[in-house]
Amino acid sequence: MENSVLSIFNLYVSYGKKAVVEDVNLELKQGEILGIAGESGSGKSTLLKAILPISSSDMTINQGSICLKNTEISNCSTKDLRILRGRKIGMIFQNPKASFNPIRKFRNQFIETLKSHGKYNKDQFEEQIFSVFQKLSLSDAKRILDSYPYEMSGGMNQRIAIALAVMLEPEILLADEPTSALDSMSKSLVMDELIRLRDEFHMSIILVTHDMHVVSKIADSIAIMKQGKIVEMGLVKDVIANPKEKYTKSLLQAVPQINIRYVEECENTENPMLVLDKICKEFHNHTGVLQAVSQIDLQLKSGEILGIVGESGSGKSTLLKLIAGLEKASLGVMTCREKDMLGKRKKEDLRNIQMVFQNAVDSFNPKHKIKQAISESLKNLCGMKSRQSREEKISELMDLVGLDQTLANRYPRKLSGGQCQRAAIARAIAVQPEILLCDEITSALDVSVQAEIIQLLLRLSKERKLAIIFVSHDIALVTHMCKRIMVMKNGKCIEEGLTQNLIEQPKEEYTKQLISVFL
Amino acid sequence: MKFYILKRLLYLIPIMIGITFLSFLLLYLAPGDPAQRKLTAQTAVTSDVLEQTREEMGLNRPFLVQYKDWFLNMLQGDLGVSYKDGSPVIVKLTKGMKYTGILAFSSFLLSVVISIPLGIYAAVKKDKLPDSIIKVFCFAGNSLANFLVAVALIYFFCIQTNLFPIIAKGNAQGLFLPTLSLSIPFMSRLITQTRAAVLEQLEQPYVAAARARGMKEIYILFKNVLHNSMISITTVLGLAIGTLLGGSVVTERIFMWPGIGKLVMDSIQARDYPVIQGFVMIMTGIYIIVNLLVDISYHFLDPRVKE
Repeated sequence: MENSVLSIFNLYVSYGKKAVVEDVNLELKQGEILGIAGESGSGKSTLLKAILPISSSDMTINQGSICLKNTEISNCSTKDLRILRGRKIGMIFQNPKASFNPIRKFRNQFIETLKSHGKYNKDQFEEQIFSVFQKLSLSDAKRILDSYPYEMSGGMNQRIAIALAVMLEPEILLADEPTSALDSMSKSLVMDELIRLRDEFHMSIILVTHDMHVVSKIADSIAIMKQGKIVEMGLVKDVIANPKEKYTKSLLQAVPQINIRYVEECENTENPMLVLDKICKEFHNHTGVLQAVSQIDLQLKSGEILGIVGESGSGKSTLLKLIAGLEKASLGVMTCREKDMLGKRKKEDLRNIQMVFQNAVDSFNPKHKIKQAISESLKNLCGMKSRQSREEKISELMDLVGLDQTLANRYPRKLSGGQCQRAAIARAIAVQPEILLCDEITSALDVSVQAEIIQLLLRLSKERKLAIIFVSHDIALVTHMCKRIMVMKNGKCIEEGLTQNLIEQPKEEYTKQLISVFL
Repeated sequence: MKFYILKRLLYLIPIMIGITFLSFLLLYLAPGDPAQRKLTAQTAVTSDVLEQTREEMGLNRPFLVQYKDWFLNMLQGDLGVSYKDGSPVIVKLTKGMKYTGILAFSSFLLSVVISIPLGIYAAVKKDKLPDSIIKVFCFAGNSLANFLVAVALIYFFCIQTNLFPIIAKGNAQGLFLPTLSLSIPFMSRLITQTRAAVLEQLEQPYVAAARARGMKEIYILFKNVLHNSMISITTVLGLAIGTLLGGSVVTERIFMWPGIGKLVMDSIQARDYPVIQGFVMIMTGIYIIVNLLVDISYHFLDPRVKE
């Protein structure tokens, strides 16, 4: 095909003896966004690594060819490869902050890249950088260049990473999960940026992601990968409208959509269990006082699921920590079943409110087996002295969260993200709390796993009359789960209401923006 | 920043008081009588003479009074006189400090110049032959005791080959062996540390991202990786300055290097309290100032520290 920029033919890649990519054939056309979707471990990242070999890993290309116009990439020498990288193929990564040197200003990182390719001389550097910023409509280029990566938000970092990747005008941009670490507002900005690169600069983009929502919004064609093979391929509109493979269907079903779960149960008339009245939290740093949470009122009845949405830095995690007692409120009143929660808590109160964290693996002691972690909670908070009864309880819990019994004997690192999050939920509900706090617990997981965790939470809430506060930046997910939603911005609650009312008639501009990302 | 430095300097005061008080107390409680030591050279020490000498030396005053007097004099820059020969402590210490300083500085310089490049090289060549050779050297250097290295050096360089004098006497030619014997263990530690720090940085995602942009390896290694590794390397360097200054006692003794280590050993044997007190104070000051410098250097190496 004459306008194809990259063609992959009959590609087999393996790590040692383990085959990771098998018989892949792909064609990337000029000015096209090709989405490659699949779950973690499907080989999609390895495919990117084969297209743009970065370091001498133990990855080997066993068979097949990767052709960039007329250049066969697998035949390139190390030196040719370096020139190819950046100049012909650019790449952006999942974690934009980590893809910059944390302690060098953006300016240096841009200039070093230009210097390495020797395409421009010294006085053209700034000019070239500014022109890229202008093309991508990143305003305030000077301020950005004089900043460090840690001074910018994740979304901004990703946009700067895109600017850096396309600065040398490569023909292809490889994007490895570019939006999965971002909140929904930044996500839509980055998606717009990619569309602009395609439409205005005719760049060809390979977008690797597990997020079918992103693919369906911006890609032209799509390849679905499973266990190293491409199982379905075609134009996005065809595949989405008429998926042939069962796997594709399941990926599509797992995409969170704004989908109000109609709650038919009769109105819960009992008094709220947890009451927060004008809770505030201030942090002091050298620049002054930061109002992380200000004047939040919140009420939660037993068995109710409340969603809190907002972008990163809106104070939603701090609010959860205040409720969990991990942070001390600066002002306000908090009671649970009419008992004060701001003073020193009794064991009973600690047991009653449990929290599950975003990164499940890190929330366990890496040197303790899952069994030990759960057993510790049972011993300390429930006073369960006999080992026998604890073991019985643990196996009962493993069944409840849908984990195999043998997994309790493993270390947290030996579990997958989804399994580990289930174990974390098992640990939290082991002590029979009435309130479960969930802090972005699904955002590090694949969509299909995400859906399973949500089902688990809904089931637990119903069976055990467990009240849940579910914090997420993903409004679609929240609408699916919660009866009531609270929208937070800059530490304040800007809108609150029943899910249906809030989605159908949002009052605030900000809420409308959050919703529009998913429409 | 200025405020920070001032604050840290103010911490010096309570630390100084605490440490000099403790060392004064320990010396006071330790067995042995300075007056008796001083008089042993003379024959027939009667208890009257002993008592009189104690009186002259101010040893029979209460402990707190002794400490107070010493402290107030110290504030005026007077560290007292040596019990042994009556010469001012400050003169003795400055002279010894000069030689110890030369030895510590040359060892420090030699180690840095050799170890940091070797550490980087080992990291870049990880698991290849050069790395293995360097690792064996580090293992040996870390395990060998200081005095053993010194004795081995004397055997090879002085007895077998006759290249250097055994007794150093403080001249330039005599500096070589003590420097080497102090450097070898320190070098091993520094190479290991540099290698680990560079390897840790090389595995960071920003290195992969820089490679993906086609950045030259030389920029990646020297402008990014090395700079970022310097934060942990500086910590080791700071700790080492103290060790080199205070830990050279044995080496100085073996090579008869006229540094402070030898002076202090002699003073401890002679119960020469003023000299010991002065030494403790100087070392405390150096430790604190080096730590402060290391902390200040973090501000320049890592902009995030300012936050």
